Amino acid sequence: MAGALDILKPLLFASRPRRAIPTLDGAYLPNDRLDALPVVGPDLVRPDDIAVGSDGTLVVSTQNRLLRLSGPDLRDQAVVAAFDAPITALAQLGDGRLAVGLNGRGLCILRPDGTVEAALADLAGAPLRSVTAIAEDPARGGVFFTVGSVRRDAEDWVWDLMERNSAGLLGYWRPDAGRAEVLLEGLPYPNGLHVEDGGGSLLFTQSWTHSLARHRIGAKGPRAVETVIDNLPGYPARIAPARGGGHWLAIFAMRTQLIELVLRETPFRQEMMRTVDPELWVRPSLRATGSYLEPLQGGGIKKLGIRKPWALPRSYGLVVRLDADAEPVFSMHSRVDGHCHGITAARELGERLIVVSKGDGRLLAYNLESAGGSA
Amino acid sequence: MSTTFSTSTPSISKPSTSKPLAARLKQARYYWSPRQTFADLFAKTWMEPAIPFTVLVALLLIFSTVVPNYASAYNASTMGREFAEFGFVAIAMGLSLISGGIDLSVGSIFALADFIALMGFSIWNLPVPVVIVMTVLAGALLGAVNGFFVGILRTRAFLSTLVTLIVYRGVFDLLTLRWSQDMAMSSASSPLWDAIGNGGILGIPSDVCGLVVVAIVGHILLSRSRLGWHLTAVGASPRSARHAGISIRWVLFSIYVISGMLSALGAVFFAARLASAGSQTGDGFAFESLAAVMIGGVSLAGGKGTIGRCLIGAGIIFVLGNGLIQMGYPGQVTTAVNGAILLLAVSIDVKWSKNRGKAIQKSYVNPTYLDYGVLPDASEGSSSPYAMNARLRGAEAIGLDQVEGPEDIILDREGRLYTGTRQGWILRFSGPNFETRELFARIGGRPLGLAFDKDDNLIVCAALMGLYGVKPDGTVFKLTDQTNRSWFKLIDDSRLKLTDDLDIAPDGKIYFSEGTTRFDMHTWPVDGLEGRGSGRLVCYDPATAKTRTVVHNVRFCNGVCLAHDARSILFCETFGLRLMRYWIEGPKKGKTEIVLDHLPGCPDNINRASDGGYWLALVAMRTPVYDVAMRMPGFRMRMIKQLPIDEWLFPGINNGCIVKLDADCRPVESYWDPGGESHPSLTSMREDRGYLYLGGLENNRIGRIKLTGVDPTWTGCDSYWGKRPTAQ
Repeated sequence: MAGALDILKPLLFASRPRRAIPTLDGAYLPNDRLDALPVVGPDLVRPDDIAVGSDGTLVVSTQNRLLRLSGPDLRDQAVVAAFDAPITALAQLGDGRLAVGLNGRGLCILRPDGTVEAALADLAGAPLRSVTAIAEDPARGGVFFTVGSVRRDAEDWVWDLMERNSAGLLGYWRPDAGRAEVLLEGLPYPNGLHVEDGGGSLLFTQSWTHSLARHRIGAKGPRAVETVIDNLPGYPARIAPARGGGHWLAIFAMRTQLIELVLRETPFRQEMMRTVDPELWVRPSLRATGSYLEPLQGGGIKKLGIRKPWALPRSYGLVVRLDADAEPVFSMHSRVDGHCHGITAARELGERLIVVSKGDGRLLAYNLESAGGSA
Repeated sequence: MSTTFSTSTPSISKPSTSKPLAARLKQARYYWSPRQTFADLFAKTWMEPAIPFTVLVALLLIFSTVVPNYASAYNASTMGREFAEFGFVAIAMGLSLISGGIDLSVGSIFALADFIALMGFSIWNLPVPVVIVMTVLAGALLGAVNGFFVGILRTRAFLSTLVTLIVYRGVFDLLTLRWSQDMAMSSASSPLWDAIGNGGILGIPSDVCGLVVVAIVGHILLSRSRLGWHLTAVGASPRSARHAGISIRWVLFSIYVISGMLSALGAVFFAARLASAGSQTGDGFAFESLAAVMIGGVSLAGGKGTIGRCLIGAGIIFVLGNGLIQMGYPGQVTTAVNGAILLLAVSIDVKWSKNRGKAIQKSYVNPTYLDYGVLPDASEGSSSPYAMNARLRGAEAIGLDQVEGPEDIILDREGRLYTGTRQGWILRFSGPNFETRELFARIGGRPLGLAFDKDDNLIVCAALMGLYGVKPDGTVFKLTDQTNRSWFKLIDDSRLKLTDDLDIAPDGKIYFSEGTTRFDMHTWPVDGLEGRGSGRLVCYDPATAKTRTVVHNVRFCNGVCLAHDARSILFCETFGLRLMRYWIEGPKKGKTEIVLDHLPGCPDNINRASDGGYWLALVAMRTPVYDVAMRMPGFRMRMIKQLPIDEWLFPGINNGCIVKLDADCRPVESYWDPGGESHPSLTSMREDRGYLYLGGLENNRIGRIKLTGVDPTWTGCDSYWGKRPTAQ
């Protein structure tokens, strides 16, 4: 039925805009800004999320460990806590505590000394296997959080995409009151969260629909999710406030027509999932390895010794600055030939924007004073 | 490039565990492609009237079942006689349409000519041959008036012939008023006249015989004579025709004269049959003949149409009108139906001529089911002969950024290095470190295969051109550019297209490969996605200057190498992932066999090694996803249709891999440049004096590595043609 509609719609409503992949134009015009940024912090293995500590230090999650970085170039590191599962989300709470999401385990609150104060493993019967983002509720004290999918661990996000799941949720947890509730469910991989209006509404990204959405607390029915941006050129991850209004949006991978085709081609996708190593699928990736076994697209063929930077990206780096009306105004890219791919988070720390390149395992610093970051 | 290839190669795709029967069924389903037959058929110009022809046959069948005695010899004879008269007029109309104009006065000329013929025969009692000549000349004269206005004065054909239609009709009405009584009273008779009117040859009505003769002569004139070609040119684009030096005025003038003569000829038969000049004569012919030729597929826009199409269309209009009358409908119904048909024909004309090319293009590529089987393990450190390493990473670069796309490379007796480039040149590098770059020859087509013959001529496979040679002084000469046409193929494949590589047997015969007959230099990977195989191995014999295809339907026939014992030719089937042998001597002469298959990548060129073995270049590696796609033709089809070529899945071309084979073509070891850091798309290699030289289809350099443990004096030329003291 849906297939027939997909065929009929463009015929019946020829002038209606289709969900074609937007071209990188205007504010999205490709550049090499990310590659030009200085690298800060120590060498990190797959850093994922960052939070700004109450004392102006940076907390970063790298696999199973939580590090606190300080010093001029964030070179000094101290281990805050270590877990038996990779950390999938991170938030600094007002009183020095931290909230952490753990792959396949759930959500927990850490005391400032790194010990676990409270933990939540499931919510209304759904396991919290992939907490992707956490934000504090300034009004009541608890935490809001997004779960990418209740069917897959966060580390297996690509399976969730290829299974075309829409099994994410938006939750609220107040450990001191022992209250945990589902605000919204059946979401297409919510992957970033920002609390607005003093806890009155939530802005969250939805990776599998390439969209940014808003939920007003208490809203029900069809108006519970208000779409803010409906057709991003890539898969969004974390979102963080920007000074001067607006937000920084991290895009962890780009959409390509081939991926969209594979997502429509169910028998092919199933055969691929059944027989091929996930690393070698037609898929978005945080970092293309360059292995000869990875699928190659026509535009990616090296010509005269050069791989075109505008070739179709298997992995890419992109941070977008949205203004207060959620219009993109500025972007920083790392193209196919770049080395800052798989951006999972970008958050302001003092005068700098810290960008997390999970694909290439590094943190980048963008000086907000010097350039058009607040433009 | 900061890209690093992963040292722990991800695990390789498992073989498909689907039931072999299901796979076999799938394979069978995609074996034949009706869509491709459709594309091939409709690319033929003679297929264009296919639809009207089907309609004509259908109409005949319908009326045969509905109308009693319709399919009888008597009815056929009567109908044939009436049809032929109309047929002449339809050809006349068709010709004027092809010239880009229109002749509306055909009916009036027909009527006037009918009157003149009857006048000559009945009133003036002229001999029959004189009557015929006189009538046809009168038709020519009447047509010349049109020709004068349309051709010489360049007035609008529609208006001018509309005016002559009215004028001629008026004259005819006046004359018949005065003479019809006398004509009816006339007692003139002649056996010849009766034979023309009611007789025939072998039971075929005489006017049908006349029409057949006119149609055949007309077809030959239109399709093969100077006037015919000029006519089509003028119709298609008067301006271009004028620029090409064609006298538009003269061509148009002659066509209206011919049109008048044809109408008059039809009138002679009409006059002889009915012996009356009723006021209805030729009425409505303009409209009916226009509908006829349009439905036959003669375009209103001009420049498109044949005599055959005119007659098919005339057949439809006539059979329909005649059939309806035989079924008892009044004539007005026929007219209304004709009108409807004309509308239909006009709309089809517009849509079909606009979209035909697109329809062919859309259905040109037809993927088939291809199971490549288990992907051999080539992970680093494995015991496989294909195990990945980085032995080509340190290759020394020759001509870096001075050469674009050295697909094949070769060294001469003096150790100079030759390569073809994407500009269609052959470059020569010489000097101790190959720093001297010379433009040795310009071929034109892209040189893809190189070999020296025994006289030191460089024989070249130039893509889209054929087999060429370059003398040591740089003069280019052609050897062959076509082979014998394949039987049972709709498309004429005699012209050589993507000639790829060659080798020369001791008797001088040149065996060369043609990758595909369906795609060209820019679309060759599409042949891989299609997976059908239209490549071939061809042999050129300089002794007889004859070219013939020896192996057909190869899935991209690529590298060619004469075995060390000169008894067989080894050739690579790039998208079949295998190495084949074609025997040219011995008991298996003429037979083809598989030598090595299930390669981890697509083999390109193959060349001799000094130890009696061979070097094999893999231009692209299989990727697990590509293997899955090859088992899913429907997916590939939709990918090709829905995505631009840059988005398509390709095999892993960004990689360099050379496999060393032993004398029995078993893989021994391999040389890799993983990720293609310096040698992606590695297509060729030559061993010479202890070095291995590397060439790549899309690369900006030639590479070389020092080989260890090989004969440091061995050269390809010596291996083929024996040692020769070099001229000092």
